[in-house]
Amino acid sequence: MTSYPMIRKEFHELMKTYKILIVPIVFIALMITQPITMKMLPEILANSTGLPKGTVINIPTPSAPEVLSTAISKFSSLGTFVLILVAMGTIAGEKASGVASMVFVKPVSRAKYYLAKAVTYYALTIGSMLIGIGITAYYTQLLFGQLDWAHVWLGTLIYIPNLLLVVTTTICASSFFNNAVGAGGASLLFNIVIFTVPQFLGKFLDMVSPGGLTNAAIMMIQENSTIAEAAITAVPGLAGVLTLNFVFFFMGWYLLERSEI
Amino acid sequence: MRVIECDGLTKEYKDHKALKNVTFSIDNIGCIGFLGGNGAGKTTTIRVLTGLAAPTAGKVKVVGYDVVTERNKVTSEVGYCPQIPAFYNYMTAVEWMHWVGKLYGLDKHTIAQRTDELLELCGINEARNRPISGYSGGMKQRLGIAQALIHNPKLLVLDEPVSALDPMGRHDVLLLIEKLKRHMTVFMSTHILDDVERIADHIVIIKDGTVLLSSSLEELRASHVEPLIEFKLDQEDIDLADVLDGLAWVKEWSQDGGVYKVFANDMPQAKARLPHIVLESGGTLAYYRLSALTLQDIFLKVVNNG
Repeated sequence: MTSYPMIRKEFHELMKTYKILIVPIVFIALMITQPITMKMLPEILANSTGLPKGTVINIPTPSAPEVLSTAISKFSSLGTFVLILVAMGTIAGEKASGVASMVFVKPVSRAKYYLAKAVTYYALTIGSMLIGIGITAYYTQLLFGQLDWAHVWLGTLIYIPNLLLVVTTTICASSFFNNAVGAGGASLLFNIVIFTVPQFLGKFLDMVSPGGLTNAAIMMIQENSTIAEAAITAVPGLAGVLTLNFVFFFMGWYLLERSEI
Repeated sequence: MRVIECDGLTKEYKDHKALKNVTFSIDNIGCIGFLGGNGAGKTTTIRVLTGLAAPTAGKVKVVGYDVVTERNKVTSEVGYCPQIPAFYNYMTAVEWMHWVGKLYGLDKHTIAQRTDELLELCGINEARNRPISGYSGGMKQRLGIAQALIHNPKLLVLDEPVSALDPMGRHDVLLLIEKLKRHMTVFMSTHILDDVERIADHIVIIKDGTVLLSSSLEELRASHVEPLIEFKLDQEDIDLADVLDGLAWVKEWSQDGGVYKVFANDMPQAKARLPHIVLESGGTLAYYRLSALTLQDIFLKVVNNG
């Protein structure tokens, strides 16, 4: 009975707070700077001062897949930060302001409330990423030549669970903490650790970690292998990251069920 | 039907016991004043009654349903407005009311009708299409009450409903509660005793997490009838303390802002002697009356003895 109004309200909120515009625009801005920078690099270097006269710098023109994969790679850290900023107050902020207690005295289960939050932010993240990568890939194609769009979209789909993990862990932290800053800080710390540390802990952990999944997505976009080969490479990373998503999704739900509002 | 049944309600937090074996029950009657000082346990009790917090021990039933095992039924029959109601500030009053109506499963037509009625009744109809972010504290309080009523609840729970309001707002909200209590049970926590005296039919007094008293206001007054004389002197510099302390027919007395309250053991003696004592002390009476105990007197007496 109450799922639909909860989800509808969350989407309404995305529109009223302009997140539905801001997040895709920021995603586009973060990714599209890479093809522009790489295209302009020779001119930037030529105009820079301090180089001795007669200096010759030869920069081979990168291929379009290389440029796009670099764009995703560079987007990773700032994109994570943006998602944490956007989602950190979604539950914690409502607990702090008292809105959560206004909601929970009505016939709304905490499960439905939590699910509505998660579904909305997943949709925002997936939509923003697809728009961001679509526009960046189009622009890259204009500047650097043809891309194989099947590789682009599949690479993006492989990469998206990483972004969902950022959202899941942030909402989980938001369920636990009673203020948005605490939730954001905890999520940021966790994501820094989970995205960077596994590469130092052996090949297996690296493969099943978010970092391994990013590498698999880049491999797909770079078109150095067939779709089947790249997809197989992505399996361990997908398994690991989707498992983490499930674990933190249910942990956040459990924490919200147990918390005193 | 009993609208509230608390049996041995205990609520413990990590470092303290907020409610200790709270036991009281309320029949389906007009307005219940839930009284207690700051930190007495009023808000914690309300949080348990509304399903926001689970009791550590004890049984609590609201409108016949267990607050733990039948939480959804409880929330469907109870309306609640906290001390400082919070909203999604980007919404307008109408949007909020419609959203809340949907959560209660009401159809569009009923929601629109109830929204119009309640915004009018609560005096915020003119601001109905303005974002809530621009509302004053009083307007938010009124909207908080309006939204708590959209599903026509059997029990309306109000936590300190007038503490943040100016005198006009307070007057209006009390009038509103007086109207509402004819149609539903209103459970109102407050520490403003004058308000309770004006509108409550039943009183529950809580102190340090323990219920000290649960009684109808009439019964309470009848059981606390005491011979009391209240007077004030024109001369503020005259002190009657020594004289009053020495009189055998004076049970106890107090003085606040020049107003003396004298509880007598022997009322005829007190009525005959007090005016003379005042004159003998060189004072003149600004006023003199035989007084009944106010709710404040009863409250202080119960709390101090408890």
